[in-house]
Amino acid sequence: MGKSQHLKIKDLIPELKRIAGDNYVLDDQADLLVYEYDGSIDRGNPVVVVLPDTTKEISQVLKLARSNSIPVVARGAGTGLSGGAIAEQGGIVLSMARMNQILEVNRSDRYAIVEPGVVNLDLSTHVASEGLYYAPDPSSQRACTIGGNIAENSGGPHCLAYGVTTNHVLGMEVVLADGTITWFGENERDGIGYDLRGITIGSEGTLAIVTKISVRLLRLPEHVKTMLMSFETIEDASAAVTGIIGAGMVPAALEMMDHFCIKAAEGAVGAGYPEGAGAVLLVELDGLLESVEEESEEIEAICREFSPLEIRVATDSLEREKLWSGRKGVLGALGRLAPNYYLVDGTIPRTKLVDVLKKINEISERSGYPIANLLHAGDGNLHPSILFDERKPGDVENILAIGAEILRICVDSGGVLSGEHGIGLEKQDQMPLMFSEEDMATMSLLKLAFETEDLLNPGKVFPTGAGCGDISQARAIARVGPGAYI
Amino acid sequence: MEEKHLIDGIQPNEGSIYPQDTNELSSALSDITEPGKVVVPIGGATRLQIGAKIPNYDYALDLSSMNHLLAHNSADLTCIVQSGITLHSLQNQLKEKEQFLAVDAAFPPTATIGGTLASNAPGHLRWQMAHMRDMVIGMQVVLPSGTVTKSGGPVVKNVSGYDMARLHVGGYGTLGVISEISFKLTPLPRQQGSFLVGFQSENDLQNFSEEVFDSYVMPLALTGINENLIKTLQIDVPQSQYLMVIRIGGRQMAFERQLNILNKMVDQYQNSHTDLLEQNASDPLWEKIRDFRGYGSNSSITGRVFSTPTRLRSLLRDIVNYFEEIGSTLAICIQPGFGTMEFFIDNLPTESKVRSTQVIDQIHNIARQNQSHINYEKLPADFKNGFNMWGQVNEGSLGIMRSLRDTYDPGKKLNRGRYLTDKEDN
Repeated sequence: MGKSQHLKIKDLIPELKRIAGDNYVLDDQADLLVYEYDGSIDRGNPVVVVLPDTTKEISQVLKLARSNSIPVVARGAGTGLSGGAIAEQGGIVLSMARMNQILEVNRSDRYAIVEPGVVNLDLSTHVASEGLYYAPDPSSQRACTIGGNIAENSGGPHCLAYGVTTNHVLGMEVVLADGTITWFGENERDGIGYDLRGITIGSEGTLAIVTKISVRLLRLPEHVKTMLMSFETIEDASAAVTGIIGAGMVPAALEMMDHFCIKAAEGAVGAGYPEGAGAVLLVELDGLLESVEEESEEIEAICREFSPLEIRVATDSLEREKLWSGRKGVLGALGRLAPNYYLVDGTIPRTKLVDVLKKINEISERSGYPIANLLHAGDGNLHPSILFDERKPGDVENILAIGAEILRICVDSGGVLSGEHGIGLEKQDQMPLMFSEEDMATMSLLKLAFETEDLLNPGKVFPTGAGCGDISQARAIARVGPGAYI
Repeated sequence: MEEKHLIDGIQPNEGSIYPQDTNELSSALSDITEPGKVVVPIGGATRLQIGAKIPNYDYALDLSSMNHLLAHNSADLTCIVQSGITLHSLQNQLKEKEQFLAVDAAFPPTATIGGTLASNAPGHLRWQMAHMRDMVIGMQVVLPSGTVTKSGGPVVKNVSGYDMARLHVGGYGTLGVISEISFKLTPLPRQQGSFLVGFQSENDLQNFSEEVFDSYVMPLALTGINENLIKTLQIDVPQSQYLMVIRIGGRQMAFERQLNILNKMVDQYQNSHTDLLEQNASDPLWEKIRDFRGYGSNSSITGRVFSTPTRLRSLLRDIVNYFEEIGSTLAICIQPGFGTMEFFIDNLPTESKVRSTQVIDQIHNIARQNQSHINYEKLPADFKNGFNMWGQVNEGSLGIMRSLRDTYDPGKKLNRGRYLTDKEDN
């Protein structure tokens, strides 16, 4: 961010206040500190934060920004893990915190229209009395917003059977970079023309700013069964996962945690996980009572082939919630094991679980850094979390190198760089591991088709000109501010 | 020249090209450098009639030789295919491992996967299995310049870069030519069958479908057809105004439980009749319903409605009333829970005082009044002149769509003048 940009934006503050109101434009350094980070390793200082209340205000802000060539970054709850909401080039941050209304629930047609700042879990809570719910459930669902979920095409444990965010969004009102307000899709499940809705989801706020969202609601299932299977080794647990999927069963959720995660979760929430186990599987089935019971018997039979230490079934909703509380709270609980953790997000073919986890374990042993493995195992989405202490010289450099090595293993195994956190700043320089120059050039053209001036969340997703590997690490380290908590 | 390369009666000026793989496809496109030349990608040609009337074209790019299943990782429920493989061939190979691709477009022995995706072909499995675009996890596309690009990959969860495949599903080959696709697959249900209910009113059909939608029954497909279509397809059932066909599947006990729920629900409906067909007996019925677009003369009209379940209910009523008013009939195939409907108009009665163009205009009006969209998929060639087959898309979206078209195919080499972005070229 140049000095001239800073001064230019400062000059625009009266106009921004006229648009959003005096109380909703922040430019005091103390206020801005809150907006310089998200859940990732990155940092970036906006010059000003605007908290709009309406689509019209966003349109006016974008028109103003465009006429002054100022970058704009939309921000939800800031729980993202790839730096997508970081104002890397300064400019204006548009916080969606005030646009948090559930505008309509249509039970007959099973959709809801919400503003982007609605917290993910709040929607399911709101429609539960109608016997409905919103399926995508990121682990941060108590805090993350649906607008942010759209930017990153977020997943969650229950996306195994029900799909990720893009499978549950019918249409969206968006504001384009020039301030134009339009809808991509509406409330229908199908439509005419290019799927602008689909291409915008997961585009990390680089194509348009989403201001209203029509989401599919699902009927709450008749029956839910949650099982905890513990195994002596993570290899046994992985083989059980491969066996379940290979037998043609797709549970609602199929999660795995290794002994580090078990220890941390037990210490933090007392979820009832067996501390002596090498890994646990959390399996959830839902649907018709008969279907759930038949499938659970088959899954138990498959798991017994791998000598489980214990198979436990939640007997009521309280026990189910307890089992899930360990899984959903495990990342925070890792703080019990080390001052910091670096969470890696990659996806591999499910048949490669055993091989890849073995390689990650070898890296851990070789490097001396413990790696806690938390997996959406059913869809092959790994979250190895490297435990470290940022105060120790060299730790940040080392764990970033380990993260890059793990991602390379994922890609070499036929997998991808990110399953649900996005590329953002964190992995932009690793894109060449997966994509050719032609692939990335073709993707970059998409951005040009939406806006030619690159003002919406610039500097994200694509490499910045440097290669991957060491340079990427250097950039990441350079961005880490003092006292950064990863 | 192959007959299937005739589009609106027009054959390619320069001839047909049959690439065997992605490299040959890339070379074919990069070799066509002369400005203004038009290339039309063609799969099985089962949906080639869709789109504005083509003024002329130069090359038929026939992908039917790119017809291989490249990889089937059955333990991972994924596969990679070339775009020219037919649905029938693919499903047969997947079936060996008790899996299937949840896409069921018409004429599967001929329809290719690439054409099915590019033309966003309708299918009945969407009721539960979601849209076909949700089955695509990766795609390789050859740009008009011949450049080969890919997005996604052979894993079921991925947010690495833009999800470019989304643009090509329903893009009618106007941004690039699909060459390979990675899919996620679905295990075949252990047991399948179809529950048939005949109703004497459209109201009963709609009420029943809403009840099913609201119950714990999870149909694989749920489709209603009207009496006219029952007769056209020569379906042997007792006289009914509407027939609902509900395909259910699952394990034995779950299958039987769903049947019980349906039987209890249908008891409330007077004058209804029911039947249960085992899978082997119901497959031919589904094939008839699926392929109904093939019936009728060259002058027949087929349209596709996109709506919500509630709006579709009032739209159906308005269309039926309108056809009663003009003393004519149309065949209807409706997916009530999904909010889509297809209609099929054969020849209007010769004594009709209403011209076909007026009928089409009025159907458009009815759709607009019910906040729904219509895309005409089949029109007599002489109707196509100057007629917008694509229906209405809001101006903001259309602007971005045109920008995409200009960005990826500035010379409009692919399918020029046929897609909704190219209206000015019609």
